[in-house]
Amino acid sequence: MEWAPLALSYQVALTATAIIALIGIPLGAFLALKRFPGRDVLDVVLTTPMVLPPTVLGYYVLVAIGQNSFIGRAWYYLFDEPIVFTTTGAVIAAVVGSLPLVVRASRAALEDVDPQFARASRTLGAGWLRTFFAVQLPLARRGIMAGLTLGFARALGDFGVTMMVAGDLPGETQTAALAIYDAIQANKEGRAAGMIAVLTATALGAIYVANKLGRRSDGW
Amino acid sequence: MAGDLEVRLCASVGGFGVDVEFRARPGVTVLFGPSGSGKSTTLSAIAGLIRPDAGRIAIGEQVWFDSAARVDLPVERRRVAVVFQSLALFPHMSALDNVVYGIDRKLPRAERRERAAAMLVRMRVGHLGERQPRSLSGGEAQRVALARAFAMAPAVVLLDEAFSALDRELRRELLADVRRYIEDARLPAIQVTHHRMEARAMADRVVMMRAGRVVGVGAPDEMLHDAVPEIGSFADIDKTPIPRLVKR
Repeated sequence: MEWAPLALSYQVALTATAIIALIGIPLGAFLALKRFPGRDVLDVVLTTPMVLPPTVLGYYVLVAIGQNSFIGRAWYYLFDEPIVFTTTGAVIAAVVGSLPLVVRASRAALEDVDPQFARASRTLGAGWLRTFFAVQLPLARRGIMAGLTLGFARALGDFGVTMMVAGDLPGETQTAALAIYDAIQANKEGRAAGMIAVLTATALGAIYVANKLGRRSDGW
Repeated sequence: MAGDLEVRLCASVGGFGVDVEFRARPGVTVLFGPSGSGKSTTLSAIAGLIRPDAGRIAIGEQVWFDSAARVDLPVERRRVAVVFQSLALFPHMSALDNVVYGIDRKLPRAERRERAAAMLVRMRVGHLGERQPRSLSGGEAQRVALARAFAMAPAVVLLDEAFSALDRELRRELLADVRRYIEDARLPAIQVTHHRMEARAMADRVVMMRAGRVVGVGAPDEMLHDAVPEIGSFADIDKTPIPRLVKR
């Protein structure tokens, strides 16, 4: 079994999940708890990557962070290397693909928390920030964790966006999903079998955990 | 002692309008009226949970809301203890932590826990501090919710149908404890109810409401005599004779 692509997949997926937690939970909270003009538009923009063809999504990411883009040039200036066709590019691809899952799960979990608890917290002298961290977030944590678990699984299995943004460079950007594709193309199914088994087991485990967490969202 | 609570407000929520004016002195003022008369909306506006369209809400010298002067103190700075009908005990915290939550965070943690524990004892649930809300009976949860409200050293206490889920005997015991606390603290408390027995047991003064307006203010004996049926139990309140109205 090839371990390097699997190890890279887990490294990319874990890094991406950490980044998604930092971006996705606040975005989900913003959509759940604030009323502002353009809320529906923001929701559509954040959700669309779920249904776009990966190649289209990859194209947009390339346009946004490619070497001719502002971000790409700034990155090159700062770190003396491009973003695309690197491990960083693979992480960004995974983040973009999985972010909608976490935003939606966080939003739904926070909307599920009885607003009476937030009202009680405010009358007890807590501002909105303390109310969020001490009351709403702990009460929504199971739903959010379920979203993060699904996000991790999605990041682990990303193919299309990673291929577009990071390429398929063995030892550098070749994740397990890409290595499986290469092995099948080369008629070496034996090489792919181990990776297929590990990814399948991880996906089954992730869905099981997400379901468990989701079902017990009110189980205090 | 906090002083009188002055309430003059117009507010509309979901197409329903409230236009009320009354004064709550230290002691218990009962807002009495049928469902949909605007009692809970009035309470929410006093607490700062909804913003009135116009009016003035002040406690003693402190103005909480004044539309003319553009004052609107945020809810967390009003020091208003609200006991909700649902109690809203935080399910992920122990009873003690629920009570600690509202106590001034400038105080050392040990002192906050001590105060919370003392308030639980005062509300006769001192032995339940480590229990989670879901493991408490209705009466126990009610006492923890009251302890949480009182422990924050409030300027005003608001009780929104807070005892409606309890049986008669339990309610009688609890009302006596709540009354005692409010008398000792000399706080204005506003209680929303449509139970005449509860209103009689608690009220120093009754503000009767119908269709979003105050239709009478007076002593419990005048406002809650037997000619007025139990408001929660009849549908057509508008056909019922109103007791002698007292000028505010």
